[in-house]
Amino acid sequence: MKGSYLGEFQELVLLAVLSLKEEAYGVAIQKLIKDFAERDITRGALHSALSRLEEKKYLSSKFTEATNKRGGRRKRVYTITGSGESALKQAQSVREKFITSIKPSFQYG
Amino acid sequence: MDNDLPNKTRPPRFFKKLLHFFCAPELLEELEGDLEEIFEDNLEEKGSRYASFRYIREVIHLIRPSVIKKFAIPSLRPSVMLNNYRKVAFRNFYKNKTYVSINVVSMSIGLACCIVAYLNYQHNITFDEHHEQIDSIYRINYSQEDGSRFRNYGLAPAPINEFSKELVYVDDVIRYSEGYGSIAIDENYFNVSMSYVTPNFLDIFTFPLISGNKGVLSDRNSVIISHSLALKLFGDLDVLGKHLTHIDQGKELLLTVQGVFNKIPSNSSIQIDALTNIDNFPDHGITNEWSKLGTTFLTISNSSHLVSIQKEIQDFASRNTPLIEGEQVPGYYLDPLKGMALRAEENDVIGPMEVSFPLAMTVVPVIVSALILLIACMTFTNTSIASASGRLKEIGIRKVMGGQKNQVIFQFLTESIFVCLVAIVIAIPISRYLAKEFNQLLPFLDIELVLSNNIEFYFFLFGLLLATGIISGGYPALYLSKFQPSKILKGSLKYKSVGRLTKILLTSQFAFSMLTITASIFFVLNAQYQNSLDLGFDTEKTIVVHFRNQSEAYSPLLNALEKNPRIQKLAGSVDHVGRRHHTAKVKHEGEEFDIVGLDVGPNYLETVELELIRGRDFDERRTADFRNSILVNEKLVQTKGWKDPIGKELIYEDSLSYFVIGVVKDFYFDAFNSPIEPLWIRMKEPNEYNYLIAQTSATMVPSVIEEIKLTWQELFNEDIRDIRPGAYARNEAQLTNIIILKVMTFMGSIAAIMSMIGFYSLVSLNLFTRMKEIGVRKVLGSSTLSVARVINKDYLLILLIGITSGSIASYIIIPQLMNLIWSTYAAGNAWITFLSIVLMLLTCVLTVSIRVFRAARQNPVLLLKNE
Repeated sequence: MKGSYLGEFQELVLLAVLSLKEEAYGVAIQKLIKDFAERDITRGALHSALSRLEEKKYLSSKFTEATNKRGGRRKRVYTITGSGESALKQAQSVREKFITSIKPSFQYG
Repeated sequence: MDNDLPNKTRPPRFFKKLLHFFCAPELLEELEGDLEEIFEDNLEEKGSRYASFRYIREVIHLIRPSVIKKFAIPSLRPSVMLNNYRKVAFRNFYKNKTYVSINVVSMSIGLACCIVAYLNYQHNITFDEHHEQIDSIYRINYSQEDGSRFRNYGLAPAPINEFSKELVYVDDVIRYSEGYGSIAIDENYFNVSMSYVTPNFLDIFTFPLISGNKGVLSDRNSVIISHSLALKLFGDLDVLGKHLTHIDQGKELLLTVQGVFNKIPSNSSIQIDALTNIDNFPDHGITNEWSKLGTTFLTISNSSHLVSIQKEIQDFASRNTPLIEGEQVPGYYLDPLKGMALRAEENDVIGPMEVSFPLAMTVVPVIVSALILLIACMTFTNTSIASASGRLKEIGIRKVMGGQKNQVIFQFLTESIFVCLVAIVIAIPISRYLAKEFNQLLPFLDIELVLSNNIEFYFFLFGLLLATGIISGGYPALYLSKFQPSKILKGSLKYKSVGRLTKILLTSQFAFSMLTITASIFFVLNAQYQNSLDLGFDTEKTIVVHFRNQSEAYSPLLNALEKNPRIQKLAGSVDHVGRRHHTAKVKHEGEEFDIVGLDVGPNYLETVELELIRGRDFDERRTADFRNSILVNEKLVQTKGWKDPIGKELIYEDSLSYFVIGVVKDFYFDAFNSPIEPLWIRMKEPNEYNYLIAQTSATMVPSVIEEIKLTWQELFNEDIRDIRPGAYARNEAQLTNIIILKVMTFMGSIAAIMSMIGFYSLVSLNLFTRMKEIGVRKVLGSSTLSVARVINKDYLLILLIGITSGSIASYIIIPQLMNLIWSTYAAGNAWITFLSIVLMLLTCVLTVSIRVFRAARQNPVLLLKNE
């Protein structure tokens, strides 16, 4: 594997999947990132990130039942795996280390 | 729920289809669903336009490797099939070798013309592109009102140059000035123009040295000379450390050669003979004098500051320019080096830099050579359709064996592209030769066929190959591939080798050739007309010496030449017919108008033989004649409707009154470059003179020129700067004529020959298919003559239509073309067109008749005998 390095955008996607729980499919992730991070990303960019995360085994996915919406097409819902969560934690802790080293009084979050 | 609404807006259909086309099937459901959802959300919130726009954007962003499906590449067995194509193609080439080689030759001539035209074009649009920093170099220009129009100058006053050094976003300031003078080595003198530059010049501009280094420019005692000057002065290139003396306006400067330039391309705005430090330039130290002009280049790496820099310079100029009453502050602007030469040619920017060639010289060859290539392509199309009648069975068999229509098209197209490839290979040496001939037309031309490291040229060649291959082979391929095998093989197919397209092509071929032939005849006659036309002043007996900023040379030279018994008349002058004039705004009885002016010295009229038809000439003993007497031309008298012009008053600049003392016959003050316009002549004092005009007899002009050169050498101890026979004014017009004449004659005759060859080969190919018909006609009692008439009838009509449309086109186009180039020309008349029609008809009928007659005279028994 091309290393378990987690890109900044990939991290955002993981966080979005985590917070959306059962409703984590393409459009919802895209919207959440737009609302929280104010980044207007395209579905294509999101697809690249999702497929790469899936390749790294940080995400798994399955199709839901078809509904009336979307012209009867099924959604693919993503869920975070165990290694995905630990990768996320690791990324967070790296950040925290930096922050504490910069300024002891700086409060993260 | 939205699905129930009729007329509901749907995502753009094309992009939906596009998504289906490229998206991997396993991803399609997810992605298409998502996009549709996004679309519907947007539709509700922001309307259909925005939704569609977003949809398109999303689809386009999905075109990425991870989404695109694996396209199956159709597997071919190319080697077997291509081998077969090759074998069949070569057999056919061999069978039709005459026609194939005719085609290849005419195609390669057409291609060679295109290559040369392209090189000429490329040469001109890449002016100055050898400078690595071209994108960040700018010249300070200014434009100022002069008479009735604005003139642009590629120059900047010394204070502007000083000021620009202080600007924050300007990286470097380069000053460039040019001076004339001569170089002395031992006792030999050579004319040379010296370029004076700031030491950073060679860091900014790319002029490679073959010896020495560019650092020496900071040394006032060194000089870098051009490749050609090194050969001229010293006879070889090993010149480092040699000494030379530069003499300008009596000042001597001892310089040491510290470098030699590589050959400077002719498409460089800056042409250098010799280069030295600007501190050697007379008066360079004076930085507060607005009348000291030179060229200033700036380098600006960040182009976003251009506007602010331009404004700062303009503000500085507005605050500090000393103005004469009524004068305006000139408008300053930055002229990027990229494209500078082209703009300078278009807008007449005045300055020491070279400008690009006129547009006509680059565009006309491109158009004409494209026409020639097109004629060659048409011939190719026609002959391949005609000769393909023998290949119908081959096509039939291929199709019966399961060959697809596309494969037949592919086969024929590759064949024609192969022929074009051969033609291009032959065209390259031809174009090399043509380029050499083309360069000879003008002294400063040096277009060159550089095959290495000219990527654009290879792209051009490749494009040319595909274009000619497809244009010439496309129609035959399509036409031949559509026949049904059963009809071909049964023999029930009526193959018409002279189809409608062939007729159209042949007709337009003739029209094009007519156009070029008529054009060349027109231009030849025009050249003769212009050469015989009376300019209104003498060009055969006069010699013109130009002082080049050294008016003080006038008196000593005049005194010395007055003693020469072979010189009959002498006159000094500020302006000179065909060389220099000015324009002015004058008033007569309150009405303001523009006038062309010549400022001359005493005896000017008789020396250049301008004819005085009323009144009197200037008299140098009357001081008033210097101040307020003028001569005017007939044109002015006519336009003003003056019955008695003598004594009429013209007011110049609202204060100076001039009175007409005489009228001169109209003459072309600017050779044939401008029409005759209202004009005045004033008499001026010697301190302003630029020219000395001497009159001798026509046969003695060359020897008197040598004598004047010697006199100058004795007087000033240097080479004369500029001396030319008066015929120069004519030559200027002739030069354009000669170029156009040669190019047009060449192209015209090629076009004519090509269409005749095309015609000939088409007719003879066609005759093969009609041999049996001829035989039957003869057996049934037709005479040779009537058989020939029947066969000729088809072509005669084509010929007539082609020639008529060609002559109509030339009658419309050519006068306009000539009008673009000259203001005075001989517009062709109907006789010339008629002459070319007869010529064309005669040659065509002759070529074809011979061919047809030979066929018609054959013994019918031979024609009808079957194997």
